[in-house]
Amino acid sequence: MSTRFWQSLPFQTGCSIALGSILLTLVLSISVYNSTVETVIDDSNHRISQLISTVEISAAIAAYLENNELGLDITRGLIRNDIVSGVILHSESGMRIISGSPFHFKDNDVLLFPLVSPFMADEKVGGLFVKPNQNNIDAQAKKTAELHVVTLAVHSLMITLFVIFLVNSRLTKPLMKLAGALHKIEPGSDERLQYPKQHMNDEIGLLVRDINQLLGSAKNTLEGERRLREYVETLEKQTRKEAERDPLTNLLNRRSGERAIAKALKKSEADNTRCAILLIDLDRFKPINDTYGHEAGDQTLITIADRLTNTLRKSDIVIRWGGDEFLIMVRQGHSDLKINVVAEKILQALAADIAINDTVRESIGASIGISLYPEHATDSALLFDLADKAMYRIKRSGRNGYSIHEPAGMKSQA
Amino acid sequence: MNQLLRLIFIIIALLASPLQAGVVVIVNSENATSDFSQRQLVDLYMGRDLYFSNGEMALRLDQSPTSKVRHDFYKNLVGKSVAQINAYWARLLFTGRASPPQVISDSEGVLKAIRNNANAVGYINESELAPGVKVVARVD
Repeated sequence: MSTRFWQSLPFQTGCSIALGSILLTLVLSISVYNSTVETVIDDSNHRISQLISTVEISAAIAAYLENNELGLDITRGLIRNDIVSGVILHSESGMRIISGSPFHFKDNDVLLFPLVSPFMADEKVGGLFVKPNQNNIDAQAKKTAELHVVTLAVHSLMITLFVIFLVNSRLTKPLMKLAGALHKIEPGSDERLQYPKQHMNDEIGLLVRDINQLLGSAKNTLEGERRLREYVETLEKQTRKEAERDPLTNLLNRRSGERAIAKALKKSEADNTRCAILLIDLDRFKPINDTYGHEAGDQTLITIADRLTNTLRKSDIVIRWGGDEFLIMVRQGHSDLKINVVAEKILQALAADIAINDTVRESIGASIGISLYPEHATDSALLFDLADKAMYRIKRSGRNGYSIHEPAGMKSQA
Repeated sequence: MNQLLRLIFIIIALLASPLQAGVVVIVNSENATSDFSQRQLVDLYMGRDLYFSNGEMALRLDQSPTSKVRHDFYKNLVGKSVAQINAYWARLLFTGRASPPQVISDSEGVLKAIRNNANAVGYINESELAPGVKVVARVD
């Protein structure tokens, strides 16, 4: 979450500005120094001109009279000024008076002041060569330039600090706050970023608005996906159910019923319990189908299935075996398996009248064949077969009854 | 009309002439110098060149500092007042090298000094000219 200081926006911005201002200061310093030197030289020359104008008449007299004493007095006086390093006073007829450090009068920086006769303005009597004090000029230029550079540097430093402060307070802090707030928001939740008060209408406000829009659309997307997943799950469950169940009666179909029975037999073997297979064939279903139509037939089957389910325990397996055949597996509970009682109950349930339509009620009745595990067989296919045979026996002998397989060929009839 | 104007002009000229009398520079009549240029005169009186062309050193004579002739002389020669000239000499006094001309109290004294010294040079009003001296320059 936290950024290292030297990677932070204020520091980087500050560094850039500092670097820029250092470069600028350097470049400016050079030009400032050069222009300062020029200014100082101009200033010095101006002061020298003023200085010379005060001694001009005396110098002219000295040159006019070739008076060494007066000339020396003037040149010595001149070099006492720290802006002058050397002076030559010469006259037209050859007098030369030199004071201060020696120099060549043809040097670039040497100033020449011509002297005219004090009495005849058109007569040139000599001149003053003045060498400005370079050290003084340099020192003064340096001092002024240094002041400029220090001012510039302080200025740059102040601006840099101010920009760092501004970037920090106006940009980084709100951004960090946003980042922190965004970090806490769970994708897909209803939480949104708060608009920072000072940044309602600037880029940060815009960013918050966009982020909130993004959060909103992320939420919608996630929700859509969740709904889709739920839908797929429901669909899968339904498909599985449809594969296992008979669509009309919602009982187990034959295939999944066989599987359930095989599983139950294995469990009985392990638990050493008993089971019974009851194969039920409806006695008067076909005439109803023929007389009142398939819809009435379907309705009848649904009613029969409901009655079977209601009559039996939850742990018993009820299968639509095919057409108007049902197969039931009854398992031994805590007490002994009383198959006769069960069979009687089923017969009773199926014998009751069924409302075909508003006016007609019919009793269907059923024939039940029963085989027992493990007395008759342990193999499910064989158990089915034995039950089937027992059921046919009852059908032949008058219907609406049950028959338990008799291995010894004995007959039992209800 | 024309004659009347001329008459007036002459009268004015006559009236003005004594006042306007020029200043003349004079030397002993035996002095070889026949005339001075203005520049020579300036250099002589301002102390730059104190010698005649024959190599003799000139004795320069000045008049009383308050006199009109002295005022006119310097005004006409170098365009400076007596006070300015005094300042000039005062400036040079400490050098010990240049010295101002010798002051004679009046024109009579100047004439007398020149008559007595062949190398003396002085100035007087033209109207005060007397024998024994010769004019070498006019200062107007």
